[in-house]
Amino acid sequence: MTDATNATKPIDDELLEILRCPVAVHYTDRGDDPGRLELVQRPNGDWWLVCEDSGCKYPIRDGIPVMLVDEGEKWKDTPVDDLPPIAEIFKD
Amino acid sequence: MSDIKQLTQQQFGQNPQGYVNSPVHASGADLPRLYDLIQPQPGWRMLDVATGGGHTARTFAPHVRCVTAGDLTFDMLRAARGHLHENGLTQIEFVQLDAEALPFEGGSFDLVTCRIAPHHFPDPGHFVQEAARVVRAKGIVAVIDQIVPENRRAARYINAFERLRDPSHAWAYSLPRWERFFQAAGLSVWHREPFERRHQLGPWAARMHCAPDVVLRLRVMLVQAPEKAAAWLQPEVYPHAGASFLIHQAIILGRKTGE
Repeated sequence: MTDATNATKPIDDELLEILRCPVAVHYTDRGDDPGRLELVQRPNGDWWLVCEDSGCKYPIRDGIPVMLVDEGEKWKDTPVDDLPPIAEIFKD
Repeated sequence: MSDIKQLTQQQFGQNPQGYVNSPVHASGADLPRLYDLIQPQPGWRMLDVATGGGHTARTFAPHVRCVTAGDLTFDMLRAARGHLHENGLTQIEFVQLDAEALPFEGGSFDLVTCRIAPHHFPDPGHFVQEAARVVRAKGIVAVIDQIVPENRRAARYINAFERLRDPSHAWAYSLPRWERFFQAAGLSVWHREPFERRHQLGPWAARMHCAPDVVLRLRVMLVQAPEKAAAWLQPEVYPHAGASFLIHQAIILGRKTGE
């Protein structure tokens, strides 16, 4: 995993500040601001948004965060280090 | 993901450029009217849900601080981004999202818009709840969508007519029902404006690539429309081929109540 501050981020800081996991944002037992996302970069250059509260992980595909519940939950039990290349997920 | 959402992704994903270029979506008096009614402010952050070809985002972007454009369909977003960037509108961000599960912190936006899309949503009341959640107190939620009469039988008929043409059409609601969606979400409705537009059956069906037998069935539905549905659609059926009818839409504007 790469520190997001050391690389060119795929999304704007201001957008990252308001983006939340669409699952965890509705949690009522995780404090005042549930569903915050951490921007992480994989060694292959892929970027993901990872939610500690839910475990959901959202790929950033061609600069566009894929914030669909089905997509985030698909990677819930996959450690960040084992996430597949995004190009293999979508094959476009 | 529900069947209707998958159908929506298929429908819009197979011809995203068509929606970017579609005159029905790209133009229309409702877009400048929406702008005039809302009077967006330069410091505003806006969310456009189900942005499609990005036409509402394009209208507002030059006048607000930033726009986030969201859509269920990735290829639609990519097509909209290409179109908007070609037109110099690079301050728009794109997010693939579900209108009924918005991925944002509460109170993040000054304005949430959604134009000609909620009739594809399985639960538009849930969408309005989500829009109300992510807009700030006193912020505006603006919806433009197709409406149907309050009469249930007529509403069913018109929705069946629409779904025959487009299987991703979930349901269009009456204007009073929309107002109830807003009120239930804590939004005070401060403007509602129905309007109508006459469509020619042939081009309308062709945009959805309807087969000839489907076009024929749509024409028969116009001919056989029961009285209250016919009063709404006002079909004009030509002797040998073709027909036209009215589609009704409405602008509904709500303001989030509370501090």
